[in-house]
Amino acid sequence: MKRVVHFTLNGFEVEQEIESHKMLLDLLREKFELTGTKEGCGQGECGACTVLVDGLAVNACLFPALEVEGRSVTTVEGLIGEGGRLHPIQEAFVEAGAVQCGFCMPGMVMSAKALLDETPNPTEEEIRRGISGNLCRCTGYVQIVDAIKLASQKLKGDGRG
Amino acid sequence: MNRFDYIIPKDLEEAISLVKGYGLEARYVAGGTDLLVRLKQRALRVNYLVSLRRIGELKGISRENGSVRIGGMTTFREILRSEIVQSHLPVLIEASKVLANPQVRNVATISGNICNAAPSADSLPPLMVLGATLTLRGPEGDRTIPLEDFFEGPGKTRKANDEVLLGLSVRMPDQETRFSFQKIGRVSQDIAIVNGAIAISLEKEEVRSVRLVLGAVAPVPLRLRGVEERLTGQRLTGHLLDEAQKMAEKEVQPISDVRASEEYRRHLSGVVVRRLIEKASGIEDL
Ligand SMILES: Cc1cc2nc3c(=O)[nH]c(=O)nc-3n(C[C@H](O)[C@H](O)[C@H](O)COP(=O)(O)OP(=O)(O)OC[C@H]3O[C@@H](n4cnc5c(N)ncnc54)[C@H](O)[C@@H]3O)c2cc1C
Ligand code: FES
Ligand code: FES
Repeated sequence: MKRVVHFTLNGFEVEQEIESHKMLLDLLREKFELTGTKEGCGQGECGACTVLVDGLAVNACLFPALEVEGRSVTTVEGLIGEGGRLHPIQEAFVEAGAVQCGFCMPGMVMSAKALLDETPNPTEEEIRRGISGNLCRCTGYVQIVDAIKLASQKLKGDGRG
Repeated sequence: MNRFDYIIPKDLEEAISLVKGYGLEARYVAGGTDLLVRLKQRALRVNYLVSLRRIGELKGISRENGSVRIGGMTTFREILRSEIVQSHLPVLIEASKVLANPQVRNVATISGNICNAAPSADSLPPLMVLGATLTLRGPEGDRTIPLEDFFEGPGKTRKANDEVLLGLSVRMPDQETRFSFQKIGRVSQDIAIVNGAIAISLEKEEVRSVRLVLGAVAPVPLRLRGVEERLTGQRLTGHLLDEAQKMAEKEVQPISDVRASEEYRRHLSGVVVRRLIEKASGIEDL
């Protein structure tokens, strides 16, 4: 059965018809062609599909599309700055050498954003817990943790959040 | 995943009448972190999911006449951030911290953890040693049931399909009773191989009363009544702890699965019981 959902997507008011058994991940990738958000496991285990709903990190593969009605969704595409500038968190990931194949990155960056929004100066332990729902098959996490520390410093100077 | 219809009812009454009307073709859905995974794995088929997420009266944590009430649709994120739970039920905080990961905790609810009835569910040992009582609402009205009597087997409870778990209530523990929680998984935040909780009250190192529950070692979260009886009225000594550890290994009824063998679970059960007692009593290296 098709239904219409209204929500805020990366700052824009949108509405879209979608079959009611679809997940937010399908809505983003198929209907809005926002393919930054990735599908890994499709079952809540890997975090590749992490987006923010009303500021909280959720797995879009397990979030029913219709549940975003009236809510605000931020995807990795929503982090882009003026003139296509990378977000400070993304810059930090590049500078720290935290990216290899890149598949986990959109989810990892969104988890980092959720963490830093709530905890601007996280300890290493808090960082590790903050990304504990995101798997990375390449990096071994050390540079990712470094990148989030660096991002925390950048954001203090930047005021953008 | 089959094409179910996802329905967001406007209130509880509508939700209940929908599920009553559709019968076994329908299910309530909370955060969906168990149910949607099972649908995706095709372990289950339903035609209607009736969402409880927007029903305000199922949310929130409050104190009422010496009890703490937790609404069914309260998420683990909200439990972790609740001052009431932090100050009165810290053992539930311990368990919630290691339940899944941030993305899951942001949507997963306590009612989902209870109604899903996984023997490994992390909130169940703490809630059972706290003596939680559930309140259910069905088409015929409300009823209460002790959490301890709620489970029949893995995924099976005494709740009818059209009954909603409104929430649970826990009597605020007295100052003397001490609690602890343990979880052993392959990595922290994975589903438990064994978990457990204890409520113990001591008088000069003598056990006045004790409740001990282990998870993932039987078809339902298991109260180790044999160990409880052995401990009650006794002074906590190293010898008694050795005995409790051995008794626990025998009292559990674990299975072998992808996470661990039956034998390993028996061994861990003893270890967990020992650690629970040591940690709660503050007496280590007996
Ligand atoms: C990656 C991952 C990791 C996980 N790790 C853990 C872990 O470490 N520990 C752990 O214990 N669990 C874990 N889980 C399991 C799951 O997240 C929890 O059991 C969670 O609490 C389920 O809640 P939910 O709101 O998502 O339930 P749902 O999936 O929405 O519902 C589960 C069941 O309960 C019923 N139900 C829910 N609420 C009500 C209600 N109010 N009234 C009537 N029926 C209701 C539903 O019909 C369904 O049958 C994990 C899950 C995933 C995907
Ligand atoms: S794709 Fe959503 S958690 Fe793996
Ligand atoms: S960089 Fe390849 S999975 Fe993380």
